Amino acid sequence: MKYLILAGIVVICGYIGYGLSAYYNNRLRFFKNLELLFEKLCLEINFSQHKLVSIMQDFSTHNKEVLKIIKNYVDCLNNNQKLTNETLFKDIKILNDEEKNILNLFFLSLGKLDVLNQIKQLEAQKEQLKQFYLKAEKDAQKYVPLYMKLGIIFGLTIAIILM
Amino acid sequence: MLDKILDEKIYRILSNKVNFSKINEIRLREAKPVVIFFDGQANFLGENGVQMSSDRAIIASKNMIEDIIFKASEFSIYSVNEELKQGYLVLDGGERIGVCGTVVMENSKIKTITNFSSVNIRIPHEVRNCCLPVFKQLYDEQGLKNVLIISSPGQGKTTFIRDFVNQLSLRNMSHNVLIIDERGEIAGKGNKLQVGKFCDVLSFTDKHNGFLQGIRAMNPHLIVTDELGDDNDFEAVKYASNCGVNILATIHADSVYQLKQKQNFNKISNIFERYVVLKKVGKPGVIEGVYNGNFEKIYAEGK
Repeated sequence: MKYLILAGIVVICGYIGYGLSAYYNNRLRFFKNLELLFEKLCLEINFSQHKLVSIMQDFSTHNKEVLKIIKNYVDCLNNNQKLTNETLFKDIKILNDEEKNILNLFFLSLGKLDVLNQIKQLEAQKEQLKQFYLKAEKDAQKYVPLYMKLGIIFGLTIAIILM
Repeated sequence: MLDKILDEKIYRILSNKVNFSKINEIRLREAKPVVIFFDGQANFLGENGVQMSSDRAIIASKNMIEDIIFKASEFSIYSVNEELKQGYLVLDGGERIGVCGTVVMENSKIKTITNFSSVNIRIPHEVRNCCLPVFKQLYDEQGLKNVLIISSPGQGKTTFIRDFVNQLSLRNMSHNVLIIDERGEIAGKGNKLQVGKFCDVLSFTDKHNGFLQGIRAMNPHLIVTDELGDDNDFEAVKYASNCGVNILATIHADSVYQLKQKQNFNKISNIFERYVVLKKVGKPGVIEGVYNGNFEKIYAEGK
């Protein structure tokens, strides 16, 4: 029974370590989904030339952060609100200030150019996004196993002390 | 619709302190006072509404102008580039936004317009029954005439033709009317303006293709179109006339004399049986006179 409890402690600490690494996994998923949104924008602006709001609202994703940004962006447009880091990234905690500034600049210029220039701008933005994704991937590769290992080590330490 | 595109402050003043139904045009020029054409007269817009003096008038900023175009395009300038290249956008209610800025050319063709510096919002008005004084001259016991409406810009040509087709419908004159609405001004974007129950609308097509396609597909008795301009338009009218379809069209000119001076007008001058000249007054759709095919005056204002 004692060994079972100790094993439980190790598992729980490992799970806590995994939970702490969720931030990095979320960032990774966020940038991947944002890249898909940009991809869709490129295609739709180039071919169907549908209105921006309808393209955004038709984008299907399960990523909560991307959905929040789309909602905030559309709300800002419809309610005549200024697009700032606060309004656009309301309730989004996985981005740092530099990323917010760059993404905000992109959303500010979205829909204000003709097709060719809008596509060029989107392509450039996709490159920038790729850099963010690569950095997030590097961070995830580094920190996700680290937090999990730390969790397990912490659990093992407790187990050894209790033994 | 204007509430969605105008600056909040300007719209608030216009809706609270100005009789909206008398506004013909709203002009915003970068760093200059906002001008309102009110009852045909140019005025400035101040905090307290329309004013004669430019002192303390509201000054239009570049931001305001760009915002209007951005909002009018439903936040998607790329989707209206073809219209922008022609120099205007049309809103759902038929409001036409003329734009000025820097024209970007490529291979001698307009690629786009950027750096917007002024906008001119023309507000369409329904002047009900404005064609009634001359209705009998345009539609007699022999039937519909081929009619050309003549006036300088902003005198109500589109208002007149819209009322005329509406009057046909009100009298249950069951003619198939086909409107070739190049800029979406006659029937409005999404056909929201009142043009009667016998109307089919072909929007945002050039006249050449519109006439060709419309005659084949819709079997019209009357084709209505706005602003004949170049040779292609004249050819389209000629084609329709040769197909036995009646024409109701408009053209920019001050008088029948000026009309006759227009290059290549002689190509179609024998087609039209009536010329309606609109008067240069503040109100749109005021008739100065009607001329027959030989340019003899058969109706004068007040007679």
